[in-house]
Amino acid sequence: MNNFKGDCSVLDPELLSTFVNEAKEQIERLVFILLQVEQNPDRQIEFINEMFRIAHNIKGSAGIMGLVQLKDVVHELESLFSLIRDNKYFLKSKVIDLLLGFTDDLTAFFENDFRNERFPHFDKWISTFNKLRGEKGEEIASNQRECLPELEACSLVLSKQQKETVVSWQKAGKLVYGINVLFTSETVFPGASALIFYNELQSFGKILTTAPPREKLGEEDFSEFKIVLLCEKSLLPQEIEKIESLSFDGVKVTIRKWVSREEEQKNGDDRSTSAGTIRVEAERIDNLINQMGKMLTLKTSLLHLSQKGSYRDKTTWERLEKTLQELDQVYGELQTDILDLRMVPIKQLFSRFPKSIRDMAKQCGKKVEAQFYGEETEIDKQIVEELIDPLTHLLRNAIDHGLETVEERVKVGKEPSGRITFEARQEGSYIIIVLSDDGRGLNLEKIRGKAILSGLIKETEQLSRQEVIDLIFAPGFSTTEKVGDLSGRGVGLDVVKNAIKRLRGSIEVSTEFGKNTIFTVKIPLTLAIIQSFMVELNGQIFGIPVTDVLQSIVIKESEIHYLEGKKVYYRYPEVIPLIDLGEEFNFSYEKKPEQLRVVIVNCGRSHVGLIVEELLGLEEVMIKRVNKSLGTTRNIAGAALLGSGEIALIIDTQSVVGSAVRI
Amino acid sequence: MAGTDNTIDLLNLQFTGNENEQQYIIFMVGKEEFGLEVLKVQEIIRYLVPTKIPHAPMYVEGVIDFRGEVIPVLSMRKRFGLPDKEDIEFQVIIVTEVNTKIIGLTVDRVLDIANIPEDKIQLTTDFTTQEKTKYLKAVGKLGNRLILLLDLDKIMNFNDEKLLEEIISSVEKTVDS
Repeated sequence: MNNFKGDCSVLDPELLSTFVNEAKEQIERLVFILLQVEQNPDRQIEFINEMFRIAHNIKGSAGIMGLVQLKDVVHELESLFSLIRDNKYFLKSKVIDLLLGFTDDLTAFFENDFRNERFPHFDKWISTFNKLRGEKGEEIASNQRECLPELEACSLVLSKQQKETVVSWQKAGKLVYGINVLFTSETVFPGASALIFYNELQSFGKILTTAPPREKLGEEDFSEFKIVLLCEKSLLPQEIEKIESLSFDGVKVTIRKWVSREEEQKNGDDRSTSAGTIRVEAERIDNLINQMGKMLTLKTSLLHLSQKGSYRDKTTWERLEKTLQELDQVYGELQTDILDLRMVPIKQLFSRFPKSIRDMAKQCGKKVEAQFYGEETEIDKQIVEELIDPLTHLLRNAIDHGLETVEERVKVGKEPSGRITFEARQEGSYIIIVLSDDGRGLNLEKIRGKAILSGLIKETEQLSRQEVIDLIFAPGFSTTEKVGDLSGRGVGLDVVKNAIKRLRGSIEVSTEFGKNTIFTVKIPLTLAIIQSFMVELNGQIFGIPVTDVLQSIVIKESEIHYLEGKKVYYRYPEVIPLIDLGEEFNFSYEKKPEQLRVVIVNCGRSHVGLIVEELLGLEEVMIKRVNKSLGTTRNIAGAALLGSGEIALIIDTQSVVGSAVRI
Repeated sequence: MAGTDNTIDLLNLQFTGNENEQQYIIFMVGKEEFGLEVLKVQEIIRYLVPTKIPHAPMYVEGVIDFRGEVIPVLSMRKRFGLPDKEDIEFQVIIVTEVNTKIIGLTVDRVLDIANIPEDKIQLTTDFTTQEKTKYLKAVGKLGNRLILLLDLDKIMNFNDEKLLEEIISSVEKTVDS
C-alpha cells in the first residue's frame, strides 16, 4: 500500500499540468485558511467545509493520477477534517502548526517532479495523523468511511421551501445568517440554554429554522444547536457581539453569513471557470506573444521601407503612409491587449508571504503583523515567479534583522508586534513594490565599519549618507558572519539586487535609524517587449536595454586617460571607466579617433562608458528567448528580431560591466 | 561524388516525420559525403550569414532567425577542423533537432535523399579519434559510395551540453517570454 505505484507517464501531460496547477492553488488556499484559523481558532467551524472539500478534491485527483502516497496521506487529513466537521475534534494552535508544516511538504511534493517521488516524510505524517485522531479514540472508526463532503452534515437540512425562502431573501438584498451554538461539558441544561438563546435571537430577525427543531429542544440531549436567521439588513458589529455574548455556561456561539451549498460550490469554481473567465495555458499565451513579436518585426520593416521609398505615385504613397500609421496604431492596441493577458493581480505574489512571515516570526521568536496594500495591481505573471525569491529574501532580512524582539520594542516604546508592510502600485510602465518594516533601521556606522573591514571602501573615503546605505547591496559586503546584532542586515543583498536587475528593475533603500527600513523595488510591467538602445559593432547590431542607459556621448581618443592600465574618461566630477565593446567582444572595426561613440550606462552607484562603433537610436524590440539551443554567452541577455530581418543581440549590461571592470 | 545538384529541390523542404527510418540526407563537407537521418532533420534552408556571438565556441557560427525562433548555427567544417569554404554558393543550413534542442548545421552542399538499408550499414566502434570521424556512428554503402553517418549527439559533446545548459538557463531567466 505504501509503495509508490503511480504511473503518470501514461497520462495526458495537459491533464497532469491542470491537476498540478489546481492542486497548488488549493494548497495555497488551505494555507490561507489555516493561517486565519491560527489567528482565531473559532473560525475553523466557519472554514471546515472548505477545508474538507480541498482535502477531498486533492485526494480524489491523486487517486485518478495514481499517486498512492499522496492519496493516502491526504485521506488522513480529510479524516481529521471530517472529525472537526462533526464537532468531534477542535484544532488547537499546536495542531494547526503541525498542519501548516504538512502543507509545506504538500507544496514541496508538487514543486518537485512528483512523478518519481514519494511523499515527503510519508510514514511520519501517516502516524502523526493517526495519533491526532487517536486523541479522540473510538470515534475514528466511524470516520474511516469514505464520504463525500456533506455540507449540511451537521444535521441542519433545509427543506426545498426553506431553500427558496433563503434564496428569495438573499435576492432581495436582505441577509441570512447561520448561527452555530456549541455546548460543552460545562453546559448544565443545553435544552434550556438553547430555548433562552432562541428567544433572545428573535429580537434580531426572523428565525427560519433550527436544528434540532424548536419543539424538540426540551426533549433531547444534544451538543449543538443550529439556527438560520433572516435579517432585514446586515447585522452591526455590536449586534453580532451581543449575540455572541449571549453565550454562557461554556457555550460557544459562532455566527456567519449563510451560504447555500450551491453558492459555495460556485465560489469554489470562481477561481477556475465561472464568471466569464476561462483558464488558458500560459504556453498558448506565449505563442500568441511570439506571433505578436513577428508582427512587430513586420510592422517595423514596413515602416522602414516606407521611409526609404520613392514618390513615383504620390497619392498611392500618401495612402500607403496613412495606412501604415493606422496599422501602427492598431498594432499598439493589439500589443497592449495581448500583453494584458499575462497580467495577474500582484495578490498572487503577496498571498505567499503571510505563511513565510508566520514561519520566520516563529523562528526568530518575534511578533509580526503584516499588511498588504495595492494587491489588485497587475503584473506580468512571469515576473511574479521571478520576484518570489528576492522578495522572500528581503522579507527574511526585515524580520530577522530589521524588527526587534518584543522586549526590545516595548523598551523603546513601540508596539510589541513589529509591522511589515507590502505595498504595490503602478507608475507609468513600472510596478513599484515597497517593503517596509518599523524596526530598528540601518545602523550606518556599523555598515561603514563593516565595509572598511571587508575592503569595500577605504577608511579615509568620504561617502554620502545614501552611498553608505547602498553599500549593503555591494557584492562582498555580505559574509555569513554577523557583525553585532544590529547590522547583520546585508546578508546576500547583492543577490537580491542582481535578481531585480535581471528583470531590468532597480532597488533602493531608505532608512531612519530606530524607526524603519524601506526597500523600494521598481520593475518594468512586462518582460516581453523592451525599449532598447541600438548600437553597431563591425556591421552587427547590438541592443542595450534602455533602462540601463544614461546617455550617449561622442569623445575624442585623446580624451581617454589610463588609470591603473584601464581606460577612463573624466567628466567632472566623475571618473567613468570605459569598456571598448569591440575589444571585449572581439569584433574589431576601424576606429575614428576623433569621434568615439560612447554609451554611458548605470552600474550600481557609478557609471560606465561603452565604446561602440555607431549609435543607431531607440527601438522597441521583442526579446526572444534563444529557444532550447545554444545561442548566447554570459554577456548576452537575449536576441531580438529587427524590422530589417536581422537579429540583434541584447547586451546584458551588468555582466559586461562586471566582467570588464571591477568596481 | 554525385554530379547533379539537388540543392534547390531540397531547399525549404519541410520534413514531416512520415519519412522512412532508412532515409538519409546526403551532404558534403570537404571531400567526404555524410549522411543524417531524415527523421532528425526539420528543414534545409539556404545559407545566410548568422549573427555572430561574442565569446562563443569557435565552431558556433552564430544565431539565425528560423521561423521566428532564434537558433544557433554550427559550422561542420569548423567542427571537423577544416578551413572555411571560399565559395559558398551551394552552402546550406540543415536545421535539426539534437536532444530536443533545435540547431542549424552549415554544410558545403546537399546532394540527395537516399535509402540506405540496414544491411548496408556498418557500425563504427573501431574508428580513430580523428576530428572527422569522432562524430560518426556508422558508415553506409550507397552503390560504390561510402557515406559517413553522423551521430548528432556527439556533435555537441558533453562539455558543450553543460555550457549550453548554463547559457540557456541564464538566458531563459532573463528573457523567457
